[in-house]
Amino acid sequence: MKSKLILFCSAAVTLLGGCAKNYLDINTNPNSPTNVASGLVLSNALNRTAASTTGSSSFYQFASAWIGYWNYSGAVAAFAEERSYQFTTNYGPANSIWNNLYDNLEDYDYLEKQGNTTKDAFYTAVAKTMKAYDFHNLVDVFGNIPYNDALKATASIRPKYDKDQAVYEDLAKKLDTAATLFKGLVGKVSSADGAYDIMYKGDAQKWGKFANTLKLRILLRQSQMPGRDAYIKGEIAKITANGLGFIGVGEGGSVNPGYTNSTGKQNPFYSSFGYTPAGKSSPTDNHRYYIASEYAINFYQNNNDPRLGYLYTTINDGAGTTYSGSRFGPTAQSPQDNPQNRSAIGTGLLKGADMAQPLLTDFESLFLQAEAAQRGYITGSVQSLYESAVQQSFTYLGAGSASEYLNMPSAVTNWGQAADKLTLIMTQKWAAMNGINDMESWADFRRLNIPADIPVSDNPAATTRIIPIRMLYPQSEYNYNPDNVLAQGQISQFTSRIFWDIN
Amino acid sequence: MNLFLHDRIDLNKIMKVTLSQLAIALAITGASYANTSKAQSVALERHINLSAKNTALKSVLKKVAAMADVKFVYSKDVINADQLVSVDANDITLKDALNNLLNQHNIKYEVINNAIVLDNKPSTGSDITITVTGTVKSSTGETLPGVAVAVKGTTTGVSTDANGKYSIKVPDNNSVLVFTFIGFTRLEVPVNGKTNLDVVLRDDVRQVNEVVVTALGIKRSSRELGYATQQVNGKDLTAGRPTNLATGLSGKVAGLQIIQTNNQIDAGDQVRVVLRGNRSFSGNNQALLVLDGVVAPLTYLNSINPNDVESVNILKGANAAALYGSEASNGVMIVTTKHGKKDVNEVTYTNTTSLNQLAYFPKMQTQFGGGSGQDIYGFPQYTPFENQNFGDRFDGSIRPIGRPLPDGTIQMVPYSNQSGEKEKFFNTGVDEQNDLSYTTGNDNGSTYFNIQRLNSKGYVPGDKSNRTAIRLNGTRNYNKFKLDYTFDYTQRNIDKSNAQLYNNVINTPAEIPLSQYSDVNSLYGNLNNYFNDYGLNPYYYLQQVRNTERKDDLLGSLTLGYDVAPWLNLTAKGGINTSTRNGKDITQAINYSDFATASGKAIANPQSRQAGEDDYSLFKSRMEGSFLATFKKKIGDFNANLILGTQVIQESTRVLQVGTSFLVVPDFYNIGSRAGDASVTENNTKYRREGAFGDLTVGYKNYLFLHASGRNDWDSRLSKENRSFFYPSVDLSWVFTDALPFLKDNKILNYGKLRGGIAKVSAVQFDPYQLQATFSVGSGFPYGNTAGYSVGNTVYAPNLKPEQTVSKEIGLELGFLNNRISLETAAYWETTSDQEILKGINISNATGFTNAIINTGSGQNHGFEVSLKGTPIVNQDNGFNWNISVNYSYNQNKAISLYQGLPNLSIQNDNYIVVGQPYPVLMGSGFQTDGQGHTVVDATSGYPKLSQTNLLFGQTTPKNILGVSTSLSYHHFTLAGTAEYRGGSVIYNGAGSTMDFSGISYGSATNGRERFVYPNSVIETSPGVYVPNTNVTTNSGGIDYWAGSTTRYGVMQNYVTSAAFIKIRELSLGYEVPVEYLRGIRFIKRASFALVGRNLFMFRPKSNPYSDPEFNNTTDNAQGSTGLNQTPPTRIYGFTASFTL
Repeated sequence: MKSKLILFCSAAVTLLGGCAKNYLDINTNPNSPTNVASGLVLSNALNRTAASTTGSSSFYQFASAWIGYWNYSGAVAAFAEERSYQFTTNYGPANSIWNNLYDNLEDYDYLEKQGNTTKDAFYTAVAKTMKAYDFHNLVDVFGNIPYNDALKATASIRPKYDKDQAVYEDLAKKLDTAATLFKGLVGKVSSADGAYDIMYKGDAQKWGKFANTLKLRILLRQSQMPGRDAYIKGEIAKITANGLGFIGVGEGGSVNPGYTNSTGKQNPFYSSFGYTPAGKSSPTDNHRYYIASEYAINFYQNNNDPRLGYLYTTINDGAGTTYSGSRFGPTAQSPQDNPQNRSAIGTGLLKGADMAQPLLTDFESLFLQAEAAQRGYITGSVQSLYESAVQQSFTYLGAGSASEYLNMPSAVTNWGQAADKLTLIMTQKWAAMNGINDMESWADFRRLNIPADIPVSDNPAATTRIIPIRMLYPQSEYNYNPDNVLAQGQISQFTSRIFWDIN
Repeated sequence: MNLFLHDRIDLNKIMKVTLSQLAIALAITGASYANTSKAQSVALERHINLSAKNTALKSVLKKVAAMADVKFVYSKDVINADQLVSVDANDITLKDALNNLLNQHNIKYEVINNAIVLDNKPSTGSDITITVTGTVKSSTGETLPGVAVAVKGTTTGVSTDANGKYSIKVPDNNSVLVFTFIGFTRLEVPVNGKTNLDVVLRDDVRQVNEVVVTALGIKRSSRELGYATQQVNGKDLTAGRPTNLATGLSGKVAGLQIIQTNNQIDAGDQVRVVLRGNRSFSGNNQALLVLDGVVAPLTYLNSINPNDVESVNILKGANAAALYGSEASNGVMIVTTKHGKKDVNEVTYTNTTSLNQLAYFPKMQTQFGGGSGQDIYGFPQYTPFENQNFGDRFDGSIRPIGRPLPDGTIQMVPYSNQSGEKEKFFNTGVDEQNDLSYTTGNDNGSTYFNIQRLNSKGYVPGDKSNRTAIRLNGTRNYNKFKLDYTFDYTQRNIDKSNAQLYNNVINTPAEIPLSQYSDVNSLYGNLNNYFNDYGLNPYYYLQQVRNTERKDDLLGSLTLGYDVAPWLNLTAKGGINTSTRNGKDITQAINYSDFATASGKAIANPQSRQAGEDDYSLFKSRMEGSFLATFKKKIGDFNANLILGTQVIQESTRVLQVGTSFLVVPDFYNIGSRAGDASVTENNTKYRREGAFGDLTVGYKNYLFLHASGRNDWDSRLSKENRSFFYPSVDLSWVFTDALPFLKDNKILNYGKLRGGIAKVSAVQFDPYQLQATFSVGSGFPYGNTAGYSVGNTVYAPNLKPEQTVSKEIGLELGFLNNRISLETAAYWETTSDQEILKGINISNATGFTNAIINTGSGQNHGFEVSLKGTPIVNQDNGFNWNISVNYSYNQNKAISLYQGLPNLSIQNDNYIVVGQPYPVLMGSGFQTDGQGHTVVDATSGYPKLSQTNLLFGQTTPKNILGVSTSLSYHHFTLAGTAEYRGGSVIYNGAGSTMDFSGISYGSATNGRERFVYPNSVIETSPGVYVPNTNVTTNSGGIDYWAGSTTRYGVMQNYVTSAAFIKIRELSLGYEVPVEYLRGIRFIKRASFALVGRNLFMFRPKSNPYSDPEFNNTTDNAQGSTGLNQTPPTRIYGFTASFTL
């Protein structure tokens, strides 16, 4: 009996194998790494910026129609919010922009801290620049946003909101610091770090120009604010001081990690608005949902603009011979507004699944410089900046030489014939930004009301016939950060202006 | 000394030995025992525990011999050692036990030299005048062997044989026979001169000393228990002839909520089981299923054959947690399957065939046909290829549908409502289940074997599945060792459509003769020619996206018990449970003809869609081992029972998935034959737990019991510092009817027990690896050789703790009229703090993260339960019996706090935890009100104005649950039924949204598609000033309103309704073939038949015309949200036949 007892007890002891010290030390994650090289985070962060901004459908879903580029197919019953300007805090694109950009910002915040820790200024400088890029987009959509309190995880679980203008001013400082860092890094970024940089391959010079151009965009946004000139000029002086200049011809910032025509690997804009990997016979839903707007088609056609055939297909996704756009507004599905009868997004924008995704193009930089020069903020020939900008837009789309276009006897294209040079620059900027970054055009329109004749929706549910001037804060903020978002007051998409929008 | 071992000596050889002769013989040999003689009387005072039912006397004696260390001596001539006896001795003296056991069988005994010598009692002396014979049966018609039959006032007694027959000699015509049998109410029948007395014994409603199976399979007398249990015996379970355990239990236990969230072919995996509502915000609130001592997934409830089940015991509170560990914090369902019976060799074959028929379809409009356009005056226009129903009013004219075919023809149909076309899409499903079981047993052990095969044809056309299950249970006795094993293997094969069919079917205009398109190769049914510009022919859709899956589940346990001494038992136990899923999802390629694409048919553009497939493989295993030492001791009036144990558990999972959306060879679904990159994922988890526990019960005079337990766990999922944690419980049970002299032998109140307890449970619900932040592979990466990682979106805390629940409960149990009526009530209060937010608490995205995995917040849950059972009618003469049981529970909870003042937490599917509210609650988009219940409308458009922020609609778990089950039996017929009511919660009906959008909903035609004044509306004339709206009509009453996302279909408020329902869950009529009819058929012992109907009726509030409110998108805590992934509800009609050989 004793031996049996011993048998039992030893069984019990064996069961309690925990006596072995490490028996419970098995909580090491086998699925996701807890540490990776900063460069791997950089590659993804840049790709996410592309996919969350200019490559994201959110940057086009409402702006493209409101600003007169695209409309919604008559064969689809969706887009009621966009057609009517009526939306709630649950509105998808606004939620996506908020969520994706803050998510992306966290990656840059990590890189900035890593850069500081490892004394690798390249990561710090890129992170500062890209944080400015994201925050600046957030301000343009939402106005006051969490900034100083943001990105602090549970240390600040309900981040306070900062004034939009204060955020802008701090971004300008950030970009100064970044540009200065880049200046010191020219020629010094290691090839290893450069390999992770899927935008400029570690070219600190170009990064410096990118930071300067972004700062110029931020400053010009404030051009209509009374008494703001001194500030803008002072800030531009700092850009001039670092001497790196702005993005010039062929120096646009575009991201390409190696996009390829395979599911999940396509260029994000292409995968959203283009074709599935199966090719032309298999367009994406969005390619069929978004059709040309009558207003834009008329603009390019009336000015004999060679870009028409690159920005848009002929009707029936290129199967037809004519171009046609639709009026903005109707809700009831109208067969005449089907993709069969209307133009779709063109091949100049959908170059291919492997195309790089531009974040800030050379022609946008040139338009910004032209406007700055026109306003006397920077020196240089406004005309040549303007003409170079239009040419680079042609070049981007593959539309060849713009000289015939620029020399037409037209006040809409020809520098010499235009009475109001600013309107000329901004109208052509609108024509160039089509499908490149529709949010910029929306911002320019809010700032300057150019083009002035963009049609307002005639949708029956559009009871307030004003193109909205902002988005509402996402519902998640009302859920999880209510006191701070409620402190921003009652938000209206028609009246609660961003600080730089004084019209 | 071998002489005294009755099984080793053939006493037949000592013919006619009288008791006195034996005594002399013993006295002679007794010399050698002289030194132990003083133990003789002690032996009779020894306390024993013995429970046997219908067991041969000799084996009972053998057990007693082993237990009390005594020997029995008797002659096989004098004593029928093979007669079946029953005894239920729970910690009583050997003397009392022997008196109970032997007296009723007319046996007397005497202790001689440590041997107990048996003999027949002398006859009563009076002349035996009458012999009465008869058969004893249960109310369900089963014959009952082993029933004690005695003549009242005498010591004459016999017991029934294996066929329930008895023969007894009674002194005279006025004699009264007394029938007693465990589990049945004692019955007295006057002989009145009859020589044949067949009687029916009534089930004892609730035995005072009912033995219930508690944690770890420990059998306890119900009077000892200080916590809430409710036992459902096999008989109650199968009264309604359910095909699975989940349906058999619904409505039968107070506080138990079983939710079948879907009724697809593999719906068995979509079951949610909750006891006493929700405690945890986001963690598991579901009961623990313990099948034959092994923790098993709840989906087993749907595969266990109810006929296999001996009993289901529900431990409602957390007091069993010490023995099972923290998984038991939500209550435990202990399912014990049948074991072989000693000396019973039986083969039972059961066939159950049931038909599954579409029961409820949402109410739809019948006035308007296909269309979505309007003419310039705003009148609706007919569109032949539309799937929305916003055309003009039906006029019966002959109109074209679809687009013209290449040869110019077009299908013409009358423009009128085609009723029943959508319903016809669904088939009648057929389930055919065959069960064969074999049971055998002898002194050395028992075996129970069951093989089951279920073939199912789904009510969605083309869906099919099968299930093959093998169960082997057995026991083996080797002296003081007892080996107990269970083995269960189930294989299921499922082949089903993955299509969102319901959506597709509903999105078909009212004039479409849908059933004409069942042939997908027909002229108008084929891909290119199907009328619908926006949707596939649903008959084609069925085959276009499909899933096949094989599931293998294995469950086994091995228990080795060793009785070291009468006061000490050691048990070692091992269990394993594995489940494997291997499946493939396929999507067929679609290629439209050039003509179809060129015609402008919307769905034909894109002209081609690639085929895709997804392969997945999942393996899950759980292994546990435990060791128990059980001590029993009686000191004076005190009786103690102590269990000490240790336990080790390991759980691991492995998931592999590969998929592609670009297959290149037509109809060839292999990941290798693709273009582009495949998607590939791998996920592994493993964790371990160890526990050490103690559980002590001290009883005083068999009426006052104190039970206390404590357990310490060590869990690998927590950091070293937090890994070890302890939780105790204590409860008290007081049988006041035994304790208070003035209540003893009360004719009305025969049983009364008051109990109360408090328990704390600490539970780790987190998945492994939740202590440290990780990087995730960036979306889209790798691009070729370029890799990218993202900082994860979740904040982790290294110091996570277990979630703690403290639960207090009190209860009262009463038995009236010899337990003909029994009442059990309980009230409980639970507080759960340090809530483990499994998917992480939602935090503002501006923090850079979306979730934080932390312990935070607390919630309170309270409620009460009433369970009333009774037998209102027992009529011996006409064989009419009526049993009824009513189970009611009320449960309410409230979220007390969250994290750092956060007001709410999303748990998906629009369910939220909101501080100060019950949890979870439903929140979503809605309209502005003036604060007095009027909807604010726009002064120009007449449309309601959206509230910019979400509205709170109410809780999604029922407050009140009432179950009633009843059975009526008349001779060999039994009519049984169960009804259930659940109420006090709301649900979002996704179907309503789709139906409004497509214009098929009944509501969308109620105003004739005319403009209307929005009901009960006001207009805001200046901020905060509202005037009633009497004349501003909506801009549209047609498509713009009903298919408007901001006015109707996209606004959640429009589709939130009460989730209340009353269901007749089951109704059955059973017939047990009388034994006499079977006499001719030698090989059949018993036969029974039953007709069964399930979910025959469902009553809902008028506001919910959509679907079964029990259906849900998930089985997790976020109940209260349905979509169109759930197919419509069905009724089930079945037939079952059972034969025992």
